[in-house]
Amino acid sequence: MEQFNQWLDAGHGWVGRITKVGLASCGIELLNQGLQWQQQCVSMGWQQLNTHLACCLDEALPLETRAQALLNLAACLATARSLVQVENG
Amino acid sequence: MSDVWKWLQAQDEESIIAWANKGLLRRGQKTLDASPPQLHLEADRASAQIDGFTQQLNGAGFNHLTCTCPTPGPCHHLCALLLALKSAAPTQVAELSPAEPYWLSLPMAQLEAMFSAAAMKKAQVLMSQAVPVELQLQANALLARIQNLEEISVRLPLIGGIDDSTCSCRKSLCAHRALVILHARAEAGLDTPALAPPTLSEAAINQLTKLQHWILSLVMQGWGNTGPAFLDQGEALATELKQAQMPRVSVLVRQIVGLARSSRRHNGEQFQPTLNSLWVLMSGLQQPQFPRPLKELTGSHRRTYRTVQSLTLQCAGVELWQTDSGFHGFSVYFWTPERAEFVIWSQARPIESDLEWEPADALKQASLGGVKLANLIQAPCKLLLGWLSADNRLSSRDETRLTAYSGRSASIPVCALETIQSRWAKKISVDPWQLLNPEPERIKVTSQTPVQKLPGTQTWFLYLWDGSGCRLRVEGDLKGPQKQAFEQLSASPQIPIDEIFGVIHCNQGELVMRPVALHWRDDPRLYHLTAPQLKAANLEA
Repeated sequence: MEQFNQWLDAGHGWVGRITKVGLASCGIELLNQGLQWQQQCVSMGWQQLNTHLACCLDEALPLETRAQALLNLAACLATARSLVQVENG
Repeated sequence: MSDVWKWLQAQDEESIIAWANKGLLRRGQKTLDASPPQLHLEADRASAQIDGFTQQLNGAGFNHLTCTCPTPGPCHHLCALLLALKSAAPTQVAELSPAEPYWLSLPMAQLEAMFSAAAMKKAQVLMSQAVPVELQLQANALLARIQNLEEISVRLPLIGGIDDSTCSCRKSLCAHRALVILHARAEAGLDTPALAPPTLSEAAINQLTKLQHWILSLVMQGWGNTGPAFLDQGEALATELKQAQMPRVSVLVRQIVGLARSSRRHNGEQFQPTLNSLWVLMSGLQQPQFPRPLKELTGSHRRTYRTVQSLTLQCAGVELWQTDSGFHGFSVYFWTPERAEFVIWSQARPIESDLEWEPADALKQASLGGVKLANLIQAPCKLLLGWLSADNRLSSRDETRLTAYSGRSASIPVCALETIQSRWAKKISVDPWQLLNPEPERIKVTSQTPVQKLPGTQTWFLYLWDGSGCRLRVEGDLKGPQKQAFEQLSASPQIPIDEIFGVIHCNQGELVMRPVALHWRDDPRLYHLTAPQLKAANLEA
């Protein structure tokens, strides 16, 4: 459970950083952090998050589509964190 | 006793004024005083001769009144007749309790037939839009206030027909009357027509599309890199969203603009949760089927207040407060044993627009229903007549009446953290994005951590435990009135808290209390954390 919480926190932190600097001007380092987190996402079986993340990191897609995916990802993550927090009391 | 006499007894000056007007009633009274007419009374009718004209009442209701004078509709002769008949009516009628109004028990189809199709349809549209309707049942009539674009008053007599009802719109058998009857029926658990699902206006849909573009643009450029022009655009959008009847969305946009404007002064901790809330809310409003009731998603401009009578108010705490959105004020929390819940009475002003108004000064001067705050917090009071909203806020209306309470003080119940947590968990598990109102609670504390500042923020916090072994985070700001709470809590670190009263809300799944008042162990006095000058009597009797 601890590992899962850390993974959620890491995702939340990454989303927060990329929203602050902007998807249009985020550097390769931030994108790589996203890719690393995506690998964990796949291994943990979070398909929905993976779909949003893949869309967000795909530089071939229009920026607007990627921004939409980032916002959906952030909403899913926040939902998961709330429910985990409630479960843990 | 015939219906005519029952109806007459149910009329008062107010109903005659609503039917005629104040001037005609005054002239009628003068005529009556100058020469009282000879009345001809029968079992179900009455007549008189005034100023050479003949007046008749041939049944229950204003529409059964006739006068031979040339004035069309209500005249001062008829007002005089009504006043004379009222004083001549058999006295035993006054002892009869009013019957249930027939419009409440009619089958829906018959009721619909009484109004025009257009009026009934408009009433249903207003009902599906959850237009606030405040009902007040009096001895003789049901009074209603409809708060739409303008305030409308309706009076429906309990005896007599709908024809006898009055509405401030002055139209006959209008949609407002139909709306009031539908509301009264809904409140009584009777059938009402099936309502069409609520929809957003075209203006609201357009504003949501603009909002979506603005948010996406914000994410693309980054909230740390936004320029003043972009933020001004957000501010204007917030105003338009408010005008398009979506105040809850507007507030979130304003908060985001405020956080982006002050991005150099904070670490952005609040930014992401606010942006997430806005995105989820906007997405919900763009769904073909709304995930939550439309009014919850859009928010409401005004609260709907309903009358309450005979409520005991026992003060549980007083707080001064200030919000990031630029408001400050005070709130007084009362426990009501009859309702077994807390009610809140507040006063607030925008900080910028009223520089002379200070919550601490206003608190000293404050009174509710003629009772000064100092008395309100010292001993329980009885609310004889007041107005309460659905989220338990007491209105400060001038007509509010309070009196000293002669009975024993009721004990304000303590709630176990375990119970509070499972109640919130149930709600959050159903839908983590639903709008959950903060809830006042009183907790018996068994242990606590020292109060400390959260590094890199303007926040202080401590943790406390109760007898059920559950933990609660208590948190406040290091600025504004909550700074006083921090100072009070850190001034006595060695004295344990015995009981704490505060407002609990949910922050990303975690329950957090904003403290209002507390008891230190072995000290019966109640300390109001943001208003230390107020030291009230014990919470217990």
